[in-house]
Amino acid sequence: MREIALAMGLLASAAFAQETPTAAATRFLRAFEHSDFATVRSLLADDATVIRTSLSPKGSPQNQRSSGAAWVQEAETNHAYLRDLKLDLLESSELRIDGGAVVNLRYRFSGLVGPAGKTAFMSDGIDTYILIPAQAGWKILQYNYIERLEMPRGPGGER
Amino acid sequence: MRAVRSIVVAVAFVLAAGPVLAEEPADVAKRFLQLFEKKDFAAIRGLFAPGAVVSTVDLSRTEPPKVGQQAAGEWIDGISKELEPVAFNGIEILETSTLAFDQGATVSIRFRSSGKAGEHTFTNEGIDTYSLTKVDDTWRIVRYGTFERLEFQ
Repeated sequence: MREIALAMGLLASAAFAQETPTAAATRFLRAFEHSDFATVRSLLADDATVIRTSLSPKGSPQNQRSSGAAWVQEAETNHAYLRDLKLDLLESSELRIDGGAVVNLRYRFSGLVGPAGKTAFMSDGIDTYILIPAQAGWKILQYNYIERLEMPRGPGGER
Repeated sequence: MRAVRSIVVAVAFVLAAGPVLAEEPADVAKRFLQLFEKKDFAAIRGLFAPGAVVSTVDLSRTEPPKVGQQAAGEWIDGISKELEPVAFNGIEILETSTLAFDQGATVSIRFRSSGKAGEHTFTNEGIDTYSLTKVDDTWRIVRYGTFERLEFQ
């Protein structure tokens, strides 16, 4: 049984080694959607950095800088309060140079938040992934995103 | 006749004002690169939104990539000093992509640049990424990222 699991793992590694930068970035985003933080962590390089740029209809945009490890930790904690997550991948672009690639993904992310899970949220944004090739496939060296998060009233009037 | 002249003046005014009013996110990014070529850092500073940040990745053929983040103002202060010895820097835009939603946009530009610093020539290949939002109805850079390999010959 262990041999089969090992073989499956090796096959998966071989498949990821051949995926495109856009496929790796999409896998990261889908893993985030499904709260699969083991996959999210596996795609980040050891010294990865993250910048979140949040927009609001009122006020200046805010940039929040963190290490990849700290960002994943926070996201994992926050996901405990989210449910019915849905991520629509709307558009993508990929540019490459010798030694790396930049992938941009435009998305709409929605779901329910809060202890009672009755407050809807929606986020429109664009992810930017800076990737470098590694032995087991592409690794994300920088993950940056710009988004506008909206939390309209829930069915029970919650905010 | 006077009415025709008024229309001509009005059309000329609109045409003159048009490019500034209609500047799109990719235009701002391209203007950034033109200003960078000229080392006009005062004008570059004006393209950033308040609180903007810069992220950098320096690729090397012999060492692991170097990753950094800093405030846009600090980055401008540093790069303007670093480029003091550069006599010429020509930037060629090879490929551009723009994704946008109603309040924000991200532009990536693949470029190749070459120039001269003292006795040395250099080439630089990379991808710049600009995330922009509207500040006072004008697109401004809220995050700029550079991902490049600089090589001296």
